[in-house]
Amino acid sequence: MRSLLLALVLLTSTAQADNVEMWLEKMNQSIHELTYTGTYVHINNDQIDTMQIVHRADEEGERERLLSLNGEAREILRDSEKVTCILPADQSVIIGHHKTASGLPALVPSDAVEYGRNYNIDLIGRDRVAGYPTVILSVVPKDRMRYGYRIWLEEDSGMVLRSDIMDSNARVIEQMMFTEISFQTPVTNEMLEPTVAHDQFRVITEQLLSTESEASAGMDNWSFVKIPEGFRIADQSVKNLPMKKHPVRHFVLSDGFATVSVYIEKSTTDEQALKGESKMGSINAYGRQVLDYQVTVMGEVPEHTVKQIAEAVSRK
Amino acid sequence: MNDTIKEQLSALVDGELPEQERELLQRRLAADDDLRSTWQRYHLIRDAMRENLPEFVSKTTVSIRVPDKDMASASPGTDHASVLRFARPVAGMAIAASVAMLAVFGVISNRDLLSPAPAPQVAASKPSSQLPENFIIVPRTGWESARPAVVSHLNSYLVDHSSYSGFGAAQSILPYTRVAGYDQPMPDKKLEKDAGSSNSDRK
Repeated sequence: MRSLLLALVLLTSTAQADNVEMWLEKMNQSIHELTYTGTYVHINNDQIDTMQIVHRADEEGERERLLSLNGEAREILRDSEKVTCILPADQSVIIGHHKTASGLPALVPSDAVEYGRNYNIDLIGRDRVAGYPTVILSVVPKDRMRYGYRIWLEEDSGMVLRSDIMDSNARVIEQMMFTEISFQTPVTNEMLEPTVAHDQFRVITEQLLSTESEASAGMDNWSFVKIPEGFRIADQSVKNLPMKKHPVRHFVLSDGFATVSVYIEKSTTDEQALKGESKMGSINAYGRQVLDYQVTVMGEVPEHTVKQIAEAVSRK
Repeated sequence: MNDTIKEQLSALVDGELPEQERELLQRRLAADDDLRSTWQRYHLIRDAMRENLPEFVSKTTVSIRVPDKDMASASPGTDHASVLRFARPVAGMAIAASVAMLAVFGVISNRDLLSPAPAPQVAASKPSSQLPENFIIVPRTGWESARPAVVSHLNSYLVDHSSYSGFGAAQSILPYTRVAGYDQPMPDKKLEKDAGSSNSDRK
């Protein structure tokens, strides 16, 4: 009898695991394959923003337009090559580049092994969001180096309709939720054009640098003494960032769900440099000086994680 | 807190609570911190759900008039006895945020949120360069305890970091929403000072 029970339990948990894997896969696919229009609420810190989104995926690739509905009309446009941020309060347009045609697939782990190493993931129930039936995925970190998530996935498509990010006390620190979404509305080119007038704004463009200028700028030879468990270096580059005088060395660390950026640049003025910690909602940052360089670490992880990573940065 | 009280609260927010119940509820509000912050949240939720959350939250948005003697006994140490001020209107926004979600999920009924009748005590205001004295600014640029120069430094990184961060479909959405969130005018010195002095008021 006991073995039968055990077998049953095993069977159920395997079925459950398969399910979780299937949902994660579905979620990842939905990013690149769905066309939709909708409105969502984003809550971060003491800030509530309502955003409108138009997203199209077809044989020409993906295009997207985000528009804030409250406050200044900030607008963000993305296609397979670049992201354009129109920021009226700042009177500026910031243009950044993507690395690959489809965004950054390398950072979305395709197998559940990587997720599973750092998080316990379960299906914990069903719910409705924006009128659609959803399943709820609970993503609980196995240690205190990362945050937890609760993700509501639309049952048909796997689209994320709501997500909560939680700290180690299970306190929600950032939320995103659709209040209205349509997968049926055809998205025309016109709907993907900017609506905010920005002719007079200054345009700031990010540039990637070649490896030669990398060496000359002294941006090589950087490494980590020890990376927190579960994280790996997912990407690294040297680039010119908007509003930065010097080239910036950029490392991307990932654990499957969370991403941490490490920026290293020649120290400019003390005025600008972050010394110690700062945070914005679920994003923590930590800055310190290493030799003549300013190291700034930023990511959706707890403060002690960004600090630990910052302290591990060293120059050979 | 029971449902009857919650219903009364939302009726009060909507200006629909009968006179005879109003006075009793106001007395309870004066004496009960939890009740007061719930009441405050209802206002903010409703504004948020109507997508007209003010850039500036009036202190009087979250205040209620109560008889002086009640006030004095309920909340010793408050300077302005005639107006009951909530302890932390700014922090209250964060609380409102989580409750806004509850609202969407029907914990608070749509009627509470979508009633067309404006509550008489809600003083939602358009941002203006000359704010009345009793307004505080709701901080919109999120980096905590960072100087303006550092903030712009961090924002520059944030735009870049956003192209790498996130998961699932939120990969495309959430990070850029954060970027959109940072483009807010910084409060000028005078407003900061005003906000600061109101903080000291509450001590």
